[in-house]
Amino acid sequence: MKKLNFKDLPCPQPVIQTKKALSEGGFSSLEIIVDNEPAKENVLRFLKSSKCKVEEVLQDNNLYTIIASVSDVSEKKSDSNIAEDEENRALGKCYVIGTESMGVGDDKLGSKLMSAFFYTLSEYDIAPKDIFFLNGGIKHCIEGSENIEILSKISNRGTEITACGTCLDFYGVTDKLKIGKIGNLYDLVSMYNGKSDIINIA
Amino acid sequence: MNLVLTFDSTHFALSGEKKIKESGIAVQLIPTPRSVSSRCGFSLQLSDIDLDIILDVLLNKKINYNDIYSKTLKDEITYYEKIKF
Repeated sequence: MKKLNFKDLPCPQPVIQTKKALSEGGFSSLEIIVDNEPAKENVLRFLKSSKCKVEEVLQDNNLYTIIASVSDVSEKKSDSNIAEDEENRALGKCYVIGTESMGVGDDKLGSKLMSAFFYTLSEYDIAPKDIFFLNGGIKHCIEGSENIEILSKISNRGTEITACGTCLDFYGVTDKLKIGKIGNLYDLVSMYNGKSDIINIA
Repeated sequence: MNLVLTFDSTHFALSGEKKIKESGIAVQLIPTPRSVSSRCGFSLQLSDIDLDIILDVLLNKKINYNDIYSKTLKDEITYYEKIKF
């Protein structure tokens, strides 16, 4: 992330400097700090007119921190939200979740990382196309999982959630499935052969 | 209102999550928003909550938090504002 600190910089310098940084490029996200409301508004307006998507604005007293991502996707603006959702869904990736915990090390931390990851997926502009849960991963989808609510939120945005039937059966929890449909490895293989990128999380 | 609680460490955040859940309040563990801190940590998000209620829980349960931010979504931009006391 490129960081630009425009504290104590008079208008219109923040916008000029932002423009300069964008034309130089070489980064996918940008953090800009300004110390007054008009500067914040001007920078936001400029970012919107450029190829940027403003994601967050933090206000702490008179200090503003703006986080923006630089992408080409936001250039296209469709008339209806539905069309836009469809378009975004087409760009969404497929995720294969094979464990209860994310990464290797501490399992408790890993399961918390997984929860925070699901939350981040649910908030991100582009909803995943598919999420396929297998082996220990199916535990996210069954009764007692703390991630049911967030997975429902993801599912409501059009993501297809599938839990491996063999795995549910193996763990004896088929009747406890709370989110997603039951699928098998054929579904996984057809996902692997589909157009979307696949991301494996273990 | 929607609130985000920040913490000094991952352990404080996880223990805070546990204690808030014990109080019967729905809480979501989230990655700390990038505009709030560049240190990658966990924060807690509370949706549709009364500030007084959560302040009470934070005090009674001796939760070791750092700051409270309000979170609002407008024109697809998420705005965070530090709440001052």
